[in-house]
Amino acid sequence: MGWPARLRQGMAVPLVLLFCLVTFTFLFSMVSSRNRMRKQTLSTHTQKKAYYMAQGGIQQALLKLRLLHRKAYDAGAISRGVCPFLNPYENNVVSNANPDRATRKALDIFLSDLKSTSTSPDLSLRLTGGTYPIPNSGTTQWKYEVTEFNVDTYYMRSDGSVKEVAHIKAMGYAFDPRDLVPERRELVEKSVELTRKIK
Amino acid sequence: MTRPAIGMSFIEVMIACLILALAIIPIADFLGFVTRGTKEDKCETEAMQFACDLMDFILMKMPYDPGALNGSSSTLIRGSTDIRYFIEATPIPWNPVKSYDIKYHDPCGGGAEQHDLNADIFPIDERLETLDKEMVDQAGIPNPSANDFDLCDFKLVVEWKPTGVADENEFKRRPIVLYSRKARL
Repeated sequence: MGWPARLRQGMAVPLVLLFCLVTFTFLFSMVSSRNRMRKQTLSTHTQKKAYYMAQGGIQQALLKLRLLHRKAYDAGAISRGVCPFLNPYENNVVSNANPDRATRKALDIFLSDLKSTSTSPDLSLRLTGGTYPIPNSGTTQWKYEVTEFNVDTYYMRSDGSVKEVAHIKAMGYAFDPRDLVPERRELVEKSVELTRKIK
Repeated sequence: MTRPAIGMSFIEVMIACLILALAIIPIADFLGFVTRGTKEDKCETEAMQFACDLMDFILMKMPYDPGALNGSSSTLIRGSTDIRYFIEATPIPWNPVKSYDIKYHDPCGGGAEQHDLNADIFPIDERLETLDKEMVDQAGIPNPSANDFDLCDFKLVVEWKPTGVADENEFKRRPIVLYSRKARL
């Protein structure tokens, strides 16, 4: 039964070759799929490293806000066109702002050193030093900077306090030589509320 | 009278077996490579997840105490991965920070600024040691001479290897390093 004998003659070698071809094609697609996944995994990991760099920037910004909160509040007020010398109490309320007199000069000065290179020594030297130095090259591409500090809302409450809602954005950068992209970036945002109240 | 040839000849089958035998070697290599690689990727992802969990815990939940964390290390198993980690905490000395002064004017009625402040704002370098303590919150300002720093570098190194691999050098092959900063807030 089956195929006639003359057709079966000389079929073994082509059959084996066909089997090998199919198997190699299958394996090749498996390898290329794995390589794609590997690249994806690497980029996700480098992205995570950039995220934690950005978190470092947010922490530095929050610390500066804690220590120089009055300056931060005033800089925010000036950026909205509110007089920084007005003490809000009783009838002395902040009723409006003057956008024509708004300036970001104070905010920009406040922001200017919120970056990894402003601490001493530079962050890239800190990365390569210590007991467990980072084994990868290109640590100078690891950095962060606070890119934005904007006061979006400015309002007075019935208890006489003035609230500013500020948004801080920090960009983190990281690099892995195994990743083909020169650097990965991640943006982290944080909202804070600054309150001024005369007791 | 000769018998007609039916089916496959012995030589044909031998050649086919030879080709198959030669092809099996790279096929097995390929399969091994893909399986090993997939297992390593899984382990690396588990190690990365552990590193992120630990870093989040340090940054968000732990009290600020670099002294207690510096040098801490441990070994554990997570999923199918052997993990060992080290934490390095390095306080950051204070530099003068960028700030500004504003030339005083009488408060503007209703709070709306009436003056052009661009010329009245001057950049200054503020030394944190000389800050007016009452202007800072109750936590106070740091005392650099007592190594009381408010900002600290955290370097987390996570070394990993697939569970069951006996070679300890595997730990050193592809360590994961996360780096961030934490402030006393």
